[in-house]
Amino acid sequence: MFYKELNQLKTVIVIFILVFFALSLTMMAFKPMYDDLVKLYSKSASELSSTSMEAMAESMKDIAKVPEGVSENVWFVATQWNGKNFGQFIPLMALIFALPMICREREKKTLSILLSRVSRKNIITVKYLAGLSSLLFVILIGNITGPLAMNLFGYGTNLFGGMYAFLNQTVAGTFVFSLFFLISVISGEILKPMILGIIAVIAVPIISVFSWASFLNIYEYLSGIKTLLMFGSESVYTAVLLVLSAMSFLLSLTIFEREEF
Amino acid sequence: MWMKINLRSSLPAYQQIIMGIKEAILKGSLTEDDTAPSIRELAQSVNVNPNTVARAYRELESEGVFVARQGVGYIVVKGKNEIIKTFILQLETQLVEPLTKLKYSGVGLESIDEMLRELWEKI
Amino acid sequence: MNTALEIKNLKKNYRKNIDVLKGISLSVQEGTTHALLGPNGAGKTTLLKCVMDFVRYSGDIRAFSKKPGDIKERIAYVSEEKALYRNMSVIKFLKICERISPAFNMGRAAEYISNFSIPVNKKISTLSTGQCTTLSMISGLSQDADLFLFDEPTHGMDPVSRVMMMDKIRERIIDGKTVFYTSHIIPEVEQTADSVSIIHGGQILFSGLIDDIKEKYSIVYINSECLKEFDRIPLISKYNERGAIALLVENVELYKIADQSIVIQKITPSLEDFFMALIRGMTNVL
Repeated sequence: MFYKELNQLKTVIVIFILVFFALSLTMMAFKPMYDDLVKLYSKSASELSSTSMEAMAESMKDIAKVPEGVSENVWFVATQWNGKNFGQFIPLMALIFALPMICREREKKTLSILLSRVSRKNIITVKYLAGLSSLLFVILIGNITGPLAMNLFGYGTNLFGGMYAFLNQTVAGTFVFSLFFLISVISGEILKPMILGIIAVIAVPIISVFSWASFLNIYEYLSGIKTLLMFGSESVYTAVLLVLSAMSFLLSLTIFEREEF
Repeated sequence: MWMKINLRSSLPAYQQIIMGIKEAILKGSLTEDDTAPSIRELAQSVNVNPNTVARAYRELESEGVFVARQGVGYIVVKGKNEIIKTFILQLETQLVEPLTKLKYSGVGLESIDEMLRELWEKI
Repeated sequence: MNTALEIKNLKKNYRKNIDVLKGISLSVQEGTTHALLGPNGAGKTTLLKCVMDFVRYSGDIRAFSKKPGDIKERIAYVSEEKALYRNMSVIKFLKICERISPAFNMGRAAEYISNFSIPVNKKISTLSTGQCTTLSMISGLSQDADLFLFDEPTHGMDPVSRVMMMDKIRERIIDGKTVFYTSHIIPEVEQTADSVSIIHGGQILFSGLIDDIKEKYSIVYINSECLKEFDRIPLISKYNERGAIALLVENVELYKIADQSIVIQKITPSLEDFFMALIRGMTNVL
């Protein structure tokens, strides 16, 4: 059954990997400019000849100032489009992986194939694991494509240098995946929850600009920058996400066991 | 052994098989001490379920036409002459319906007798 | 003979308190074909879904004396909607079936595919309704199961394939397996099944051997004024047929009527006559 699930997920997996690789390659176009910026910033402000350059340097300070102990190339990957925003793709990817798992089969009336051969518990467990492992695999690959592209263009970068956020991404990915998986178990159709899911993925970070809702912003956690810079513990957040994931999974299992087909 | 089951007949399928076997004995294609086709074989060739054949064979056994022998199958133990009696008996049940109809329509026994003779000549 | 499937007092109601099954009891003997015959909406599909544990129900269902859910590998099921992964090719689908269930027999599936000339490399979504039914049935019949449950096994199939499918089902019976299937095609049931349960409005009207129907029952036609003569004997069904009263009775009961001349006509019912007599008796109350 695991084979069947992977078979149905493989197109999405391949597409995501290609997208990330393409993004990593486009990122290379900015590398020379970035190098200039780093050079520029490393000079003292007084040495800068023009005020416009000064202003530009000021705005780019965050990305151009390589923190101590971090390799310059790794920092580039982390701050550029691919690395910096890779985390932002994860909720969307989790949505695309998780949502069709049960409700597409329900919509196409194909669940009886599995139901008549496999126990309900196994259906849910195998589907959950197949979807989640596909997501984590894509996250892993997505973390490697940046350094890979760097090496391809001759900028020697540790292949796993971009992995600093992998744990966070795994945990947050699992959490979002579990949530959408639960919705897949409950929902009778695929289109409405998909649209609502996309809206939620976009809306949550917007809502989280309010300080009372800031805990909703999973993106900061996803970026893993805190981990990279080794400040602030995120273990509480991690634990909460894991507990919520487990609860979602167990709820999915209970609901599916009781459902009528 | 070849026979065709007619589902439209008032005779149930297993009875038709019994008749078929008896006909085969009367015609001589099955003789005393012969082994009857296995249930599976006959089911396949007649295109009925094996249970139907099994029921027919059980019936034939209780009538004394067949004897079941372990490991061999069903053996025919009655000859032509003995079969005729049971064959006629079975035909009788089939004749009940048309005869009832004729009787209640007021057709006399003489006319039926006449009709039978005419038919017999024709066949 | 052992019982392959035993259903006792099965009741099922969906929301809004609509009773779909009102206390069904029937048993299917091992090594036989048992057909569940009934008009659309009689509860045939729901009954199978109960056996498969797809829905909750009250009552008791046993397959080989065990709960069907505990012996899934011994039961093959083909649903009414003929579930198929339609975006796959035929061969891919069969390979997936093999991966899902260890009981799937690929050799037999390949044989069926060539028997029915299903194009292996074609996408399932391009197949006709009949071919989809065939493929779905192939996926079920190819399982090395002991009990086969089919919901409308020949839906949308052409006459030649229908006969062939029924032959394939019979082959399973010859191998000692048990088949329980739903249908509303009477000649097909008459040809293939050993026994039949006639279901109407969630109730079983008759359950027994098909051969017994011809032997044990009669339909007699009488004038309505003679109906009181039949007060003393149990009538299984009575209804109006073009001005006459039709009665479905057991032969042993019929012989108790002293004056047989009141019978206008007496027929030995075929399965179709018998079925129609039962259904008419339910819907056309005198």
